Amino acid sequence: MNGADATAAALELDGVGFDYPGRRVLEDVSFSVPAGVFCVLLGANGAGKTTLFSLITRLFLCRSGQIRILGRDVRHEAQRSLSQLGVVFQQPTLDLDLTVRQNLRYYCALQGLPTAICGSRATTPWALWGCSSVPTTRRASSAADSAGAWSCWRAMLHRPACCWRTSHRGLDIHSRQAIVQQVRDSCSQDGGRRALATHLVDEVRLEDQVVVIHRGRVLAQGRAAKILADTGSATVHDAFTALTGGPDG
Amino acid sequence: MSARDPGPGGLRFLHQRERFFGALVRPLVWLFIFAAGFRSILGVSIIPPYETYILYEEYIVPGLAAMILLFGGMQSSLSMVYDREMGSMRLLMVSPFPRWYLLLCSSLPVHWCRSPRCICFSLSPGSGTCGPPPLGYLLCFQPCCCQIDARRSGLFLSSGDQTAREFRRCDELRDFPMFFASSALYPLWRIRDSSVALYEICRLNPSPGRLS
Repeated sequence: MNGADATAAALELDGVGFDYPGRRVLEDVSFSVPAGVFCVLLGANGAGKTTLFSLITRLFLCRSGQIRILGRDVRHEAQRSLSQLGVVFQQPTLDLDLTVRQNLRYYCALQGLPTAICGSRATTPWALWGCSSVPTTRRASSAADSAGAWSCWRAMLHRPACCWRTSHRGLDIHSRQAIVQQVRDSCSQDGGRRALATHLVDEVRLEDQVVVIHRGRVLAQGRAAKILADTGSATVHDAFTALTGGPDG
Repeated sequence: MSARDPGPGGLRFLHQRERFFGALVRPLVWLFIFAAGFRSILGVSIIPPYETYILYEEYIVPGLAAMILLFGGMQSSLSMVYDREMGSMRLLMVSPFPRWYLLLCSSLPVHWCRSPRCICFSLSPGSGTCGPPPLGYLLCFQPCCCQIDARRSGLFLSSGDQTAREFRRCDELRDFPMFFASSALYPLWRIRDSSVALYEICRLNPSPGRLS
């Protein structure tokens, strides 16, 4: 990768803080997601996950602290850093007036990729589901039940170093398992430069990295096995409750 | 992102033909019904750029073509409010391209999609004898400053925290004065005869007069 530090973490936050008018939402948030790692960000509602997501994806400008993707500051090298980030939003963000193929071609254009890549890379998930080609039905609205799955695959189309996913909306059991497994496999490909961040506890394995956020602060970060040992918990859910003090904490 | 890729805006234009013809209804109603009725009342004496006495229908055709471009330019910014509500705008925001470039790429197809409507209106029966010279059809494709002004003002208003419905109401409050308070419907000397204040407002209005 031209100009990027080969040993840089896929995603790194350093002293990030953010205020809404009259309210401090994030305070000195620092964590690092190394390349080739599946990272899970855990936090209750109102912990600051959405704000963090908006800062990393540059929907908001980060004025306090630094956010780096593959060693590139998101604020000062936006173009290069965003090209290494794949994002799955809570809304599917597919244009319902276009076909799935047209949506993927549009995404390729937004990422500066030749649209021919869309044809070859996009058949992979469809093959996993036992079909032979990208659907070219008249409207994406008729494929709305798989819109969430297509949003996930679309985020990986340009082979980003870091993929950030916020929700399971629109995913059925099989497509969710297929997507998670595919992304875990891709973490070890491309020389181990891929990382995924999500905030859902169901997908955590012992070797994954976990970051626990509570009320805008990072309470714990590290491998899931270490966090379980430190908190003396049997499951990640119990460890999270112990760290944050439960729903009333 | 290149000019070859039509993008969602261009593809919607190709697929939503009912919107294309719907946009022609208003100016054609003005032309066939209002202008025909006013023909015997309003004749337009010699004013630049015309060199002879002209009928009211001939005077109003450029203004109605400007109506298509003006209203279309402002209403296209409604699509940005819709994109924001649907979440599609976020896809643009996380693109690595500079935002000015994304805005330009999304605006140009909008301008070029307005121009065929303008040309169809100019070629429609009734305006056929009042249509522009051949060069005029070509100039319809230029993203003229007033279309850009209209879209820019629409974008500025859409940046507020509004739903699509609220934005459409604001849009109409803005569109109609910009069109009617101008030289698009009547020559300025005729407006001055009835109201000097209104004449000054119409004279200073940059939109349809400049477009036509």
